[in-house]
Amino acid sequence: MKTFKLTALASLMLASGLVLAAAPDGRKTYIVQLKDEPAVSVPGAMVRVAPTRGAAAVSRFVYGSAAVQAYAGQLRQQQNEVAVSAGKVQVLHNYDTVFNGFSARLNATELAAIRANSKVASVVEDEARKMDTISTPKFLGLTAPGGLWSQAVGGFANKGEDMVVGVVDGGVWPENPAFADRVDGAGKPVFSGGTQAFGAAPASFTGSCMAGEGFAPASHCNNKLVGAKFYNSGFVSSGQTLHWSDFVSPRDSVSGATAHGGHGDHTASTAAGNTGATAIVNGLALGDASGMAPRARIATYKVCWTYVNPAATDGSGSTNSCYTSDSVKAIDDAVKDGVNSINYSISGSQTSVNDPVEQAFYRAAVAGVFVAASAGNSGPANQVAHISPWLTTVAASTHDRAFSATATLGNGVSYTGASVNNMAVSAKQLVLSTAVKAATASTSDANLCLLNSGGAPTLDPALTAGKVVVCTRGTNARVEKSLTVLNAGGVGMILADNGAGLVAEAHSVPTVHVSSANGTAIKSYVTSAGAAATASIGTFFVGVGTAPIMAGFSSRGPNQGDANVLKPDLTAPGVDVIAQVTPDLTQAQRDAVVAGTLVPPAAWASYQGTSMSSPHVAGLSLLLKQAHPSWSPAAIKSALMTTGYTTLNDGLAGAQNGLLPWAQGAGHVNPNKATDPGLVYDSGKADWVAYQCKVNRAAMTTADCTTFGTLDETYNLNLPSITVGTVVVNAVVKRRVTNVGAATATYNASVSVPGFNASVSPSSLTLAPGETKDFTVTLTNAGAVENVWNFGSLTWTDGTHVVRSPVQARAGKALSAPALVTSTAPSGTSLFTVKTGFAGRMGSAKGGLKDVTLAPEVSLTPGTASQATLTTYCNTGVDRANLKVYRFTVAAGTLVARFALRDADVGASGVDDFDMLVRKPDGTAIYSGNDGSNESAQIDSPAAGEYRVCVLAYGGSASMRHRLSSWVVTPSDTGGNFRAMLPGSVYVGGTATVGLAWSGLAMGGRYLGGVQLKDPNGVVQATTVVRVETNGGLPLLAQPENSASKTQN
Amino acid sequence: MKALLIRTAVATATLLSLGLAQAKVIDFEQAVNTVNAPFAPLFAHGDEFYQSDFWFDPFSNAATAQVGDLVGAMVNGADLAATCFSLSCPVNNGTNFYTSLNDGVVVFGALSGELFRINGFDASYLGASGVTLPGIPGLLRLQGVTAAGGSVIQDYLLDGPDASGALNFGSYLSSGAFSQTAYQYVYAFAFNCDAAGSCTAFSSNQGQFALDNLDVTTVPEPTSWALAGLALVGMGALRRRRASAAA
Repeated sequence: MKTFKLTALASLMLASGLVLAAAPDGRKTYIVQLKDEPAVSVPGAMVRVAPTRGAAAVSRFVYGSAAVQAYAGQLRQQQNEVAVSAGKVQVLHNYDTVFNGFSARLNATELAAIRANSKVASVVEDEARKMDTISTPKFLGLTAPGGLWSQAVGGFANKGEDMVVGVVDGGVWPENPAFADRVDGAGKPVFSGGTQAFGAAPASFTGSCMAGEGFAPASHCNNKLVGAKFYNSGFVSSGQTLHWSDFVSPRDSVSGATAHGGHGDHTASTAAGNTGATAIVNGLALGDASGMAPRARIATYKVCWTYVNPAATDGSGSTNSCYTSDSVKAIDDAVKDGVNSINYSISGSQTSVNDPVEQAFYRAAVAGVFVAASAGNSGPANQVAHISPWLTTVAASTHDRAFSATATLGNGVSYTGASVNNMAVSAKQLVLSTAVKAATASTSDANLCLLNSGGAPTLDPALTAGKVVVCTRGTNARVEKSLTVLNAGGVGMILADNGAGLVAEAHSVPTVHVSSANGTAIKSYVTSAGAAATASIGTFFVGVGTAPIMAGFSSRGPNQGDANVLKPDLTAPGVDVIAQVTPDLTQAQRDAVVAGTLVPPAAWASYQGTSMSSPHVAGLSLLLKQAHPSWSPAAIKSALMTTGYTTLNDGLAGAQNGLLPWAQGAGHVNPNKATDPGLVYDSGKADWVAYQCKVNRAAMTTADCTTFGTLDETYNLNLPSITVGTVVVNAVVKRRVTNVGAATATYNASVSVPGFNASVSPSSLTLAPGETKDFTVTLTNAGAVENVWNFGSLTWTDGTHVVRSPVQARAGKALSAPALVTSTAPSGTSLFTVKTGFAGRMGSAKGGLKDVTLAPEVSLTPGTASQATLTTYCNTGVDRANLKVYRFTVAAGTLVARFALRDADVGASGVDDFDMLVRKPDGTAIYSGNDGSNESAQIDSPAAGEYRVCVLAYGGSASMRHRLSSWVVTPSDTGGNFRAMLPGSVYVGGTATVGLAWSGLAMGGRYLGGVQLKDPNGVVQATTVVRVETNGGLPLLAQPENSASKTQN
Repeated sequence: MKALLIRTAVATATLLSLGLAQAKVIDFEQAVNTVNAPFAPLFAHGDEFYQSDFWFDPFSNAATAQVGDLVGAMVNGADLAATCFSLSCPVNNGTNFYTSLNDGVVVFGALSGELFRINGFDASYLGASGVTLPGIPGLLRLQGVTAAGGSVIQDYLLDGPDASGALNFGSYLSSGAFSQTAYQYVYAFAFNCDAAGSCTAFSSNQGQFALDNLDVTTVPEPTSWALAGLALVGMGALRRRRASAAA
């Protein structure tokens, strides 16, 4: 009977197109999550232990405890049973600490068997993700008199003593002095001689080092670098060929023009690198470097690998990716090993908390491990990643150490911009790149100084040689532009910014990166002076700039997965951060490192990115944890957020402006204040379960949702920020605060949000030390414009402490209803609350449930194009070798239009990268440009007219095949006995219950329906979309909505 | 009209087994006959459904009520996060139960036409999403109507949210004269209460409650057969009575 069911399910999946594209052996890598909780959740997992040093005993997760060991054994047995139930399955990783499950290579039959297993909660395909300082301690005030570093905890300076940071990244270069455990007579870190500066690793840390290519634990690990492991099963199973620059070991890959190493060292040394090492960039000593927690230990977990990829869009011939299945294992081990904080400077979901990595971090936080993650480098677009409330999402901003150089024009005017140029260029002829382009090159490609255009180099050497060239930022990597100039014989470059913000970095020719305004002035000088135009470029100098200013590349909010949760949470330095990297070695030198015949040098570089800001926060969390051993990850996050200060105006317009919480979160970190915040907004497992029972029900157990309840509205999650996406007449927001001060204190509240009457009840709270009290914030619309965010703040103060939370609220339409209801059941009911700003009878229209329409397969030839180019193509509306244009006519009254691509519906899943752009009748567009081919765009209650869906073959196999999924649901579509029922009458500012029900859907379908809710005048005020994927009761594939683009410079 | 025919048919079948006082618990686990409840598990003003040989008529007391307005639903307590998607339903009952929505009223009686007493039941308030509930969020009122046409009322205080903010079913026993009287049919509807303890019905859509394990005892009477006839004739009266009973 069981066999029959499995067979039936498998054939259904085939019929419905759910089956995955065939790899050579028909297998792909999946991450299987089982329903039972992992080890951190088992009773007895948290053990009360006295810290090695310091005062109070604290609870922490101990993997070696009897309770955990017994439970982990059960989990392993259960995982084996599930794997065996599908036949001879090749298991890659077993997870038991923060995630219960395993990764495995599965074919369609095995996948169906696993999915049908009652112990299985979810199965998701493995995904490749990307890795998205010398004076920053001073900038952050750590070194100031009375600053955190000067404070003592249990007889030790507050520099991270006995703390361990886990860095899940690209590995480590153990020759870097940031990772040495000895000091010389001058206090500089050294690997030999001198004196031992670190004792044995804290007893709570049980991690270790793994041997591998060019990495010997005995000589490369020490009392500073206490852990170094590597995880490549997911990577290996992807079938990619490891690039020569990498090492099958914990060692970070080398850097250079064709390589991608350095990132793992940069993040690790920023978080907890030794103090006192002299940073040398471009041969110049730039001063002493230090991590944020220089006394903390470092454990690195390598998950990012460089592989051969001739089609790499950066021209390096290689790509670096970090597979989710490997990251989950690394996080599992890091928690098991006993790290105190984890840094994760790798891209992540922008729309879902139901992602294996986010789920692993959820249990890491439950186990008391603080997690810092990067917000993403897709700014200033609204593409913030890592939206889970249990981790701290870090944006990037500038700090005050600026590297600058000056370009002086023939007319005597000088322009200063970002630069680390160390070779002065005397006055040379200055030309625009568009004026020296090759005959075959397009003007737009020449403007951007792309390497090639029209199949040949973009710039004409005959016109370029010996000249300084003006290039414009955008589309391709900045360093590629200077390479283009060098290739054509140019001797210097002035890079005109596009508004994203200046970056000082090493270029192929002497370069100054000037602002957009200065770039425009320089271009007009060249145009008017003609052949007489000249420029000279000076060498760089270190100045103190005005800071902090949000970086243009820092991905902005609002949160695309939950409009009631603020992301990013805060900002930290992430521009021109100097830290340790890996040296530029030849392949022969790399091989000598493996052979043990070469001890390679250390290396430093200036990087920018949210990858660089995140480890600042991971390091600061160690200082706070050292000072306050009892603080939870949420308390540390709250302390950092409520004591932050605002950045300076970056001048960007609208929702991208750096002063808004969408850019800077609660503000810039201020660690000296964060150690004494007064109050914290704490949260823990109970809060996160209730939150997920609301937003991620499919991944939660009924038992947990019964025990901890379901959060009524996600704006009631106890975060140190308040964000209400839809206020209909009014909203009452619940919070609770805990006094972490030493004395009883009375705090008074003040709150203000433009456009709303805001009040706090009670407005005064007296709290004993450790005491927690509840309060509510009521926001009542007082002239706020519909659908426009307003920004204010809530402040509690006792006269000494100021506890500030950003408050964002948006007036909704006169009716609020859930935007989306999802289900996997062929028959279902859904009751939901609507809130109304009018009285009388509501009206409605409904359509669906309608199964997907899969378009016939289309083959395209890969050809990279940016969002801008794709937009231009789609406006033109003509098919190209790399573009297919689909046209849909949408009638008035349509409820919902949805277009999607799935990895499962492309020719080479995991290799082919399709992007999609949907052009609306008014000419605006929705862009979906994720890595991989899971793309989607949905328009609720769309305006009538022609919609163009433009599918771009961004990169992949020689012939890229795809099938477009589409749904256009109108009131005439009926199916699944879908019905929507409304209350008889509603009240101003009141609530009412609306019911949806459906039944008898076929298995294996992907159904879509919609309900429009109307005011008494028949005006549509809200649309609720219903997505039912009848896949046998399994969770829906987390699918990004209208999101994500390739990171571009 | 269709409801009447069905009810008559079922009643005729069950009348043959009459004669003794019978206690039973209506647990709402039976599949719903959809002939007069076409939208089940959702129930509209004007629908009728049957459980454990009792008929249930959910309806709206609003003057402007129309057939099709949502007034109730059967909920699977084992899958609240799906069913009560954004509605706070009681969390301590993993079985099916009845929910009365949007100030809805439900009136019920024995298909046999026999009189019955109310011994007890499980009930909970239902909270709208985003609304902060006071310690006593509402009252459940049962209004029993005797064969003679008189009414007896009993109000029950419904529990507020527990420490985790969740609502729970409480078990209630009827008492006093209300428990001792046999009824022809009983109305059930909720008041919702503010933090000051002021309770109102039929004015907010927030009079919502969940009902399960309705413990009743049917009362054998020599005149059962005649009463059955009366019940049939009485349908019109019943429908007319609703507005005044609930006002």
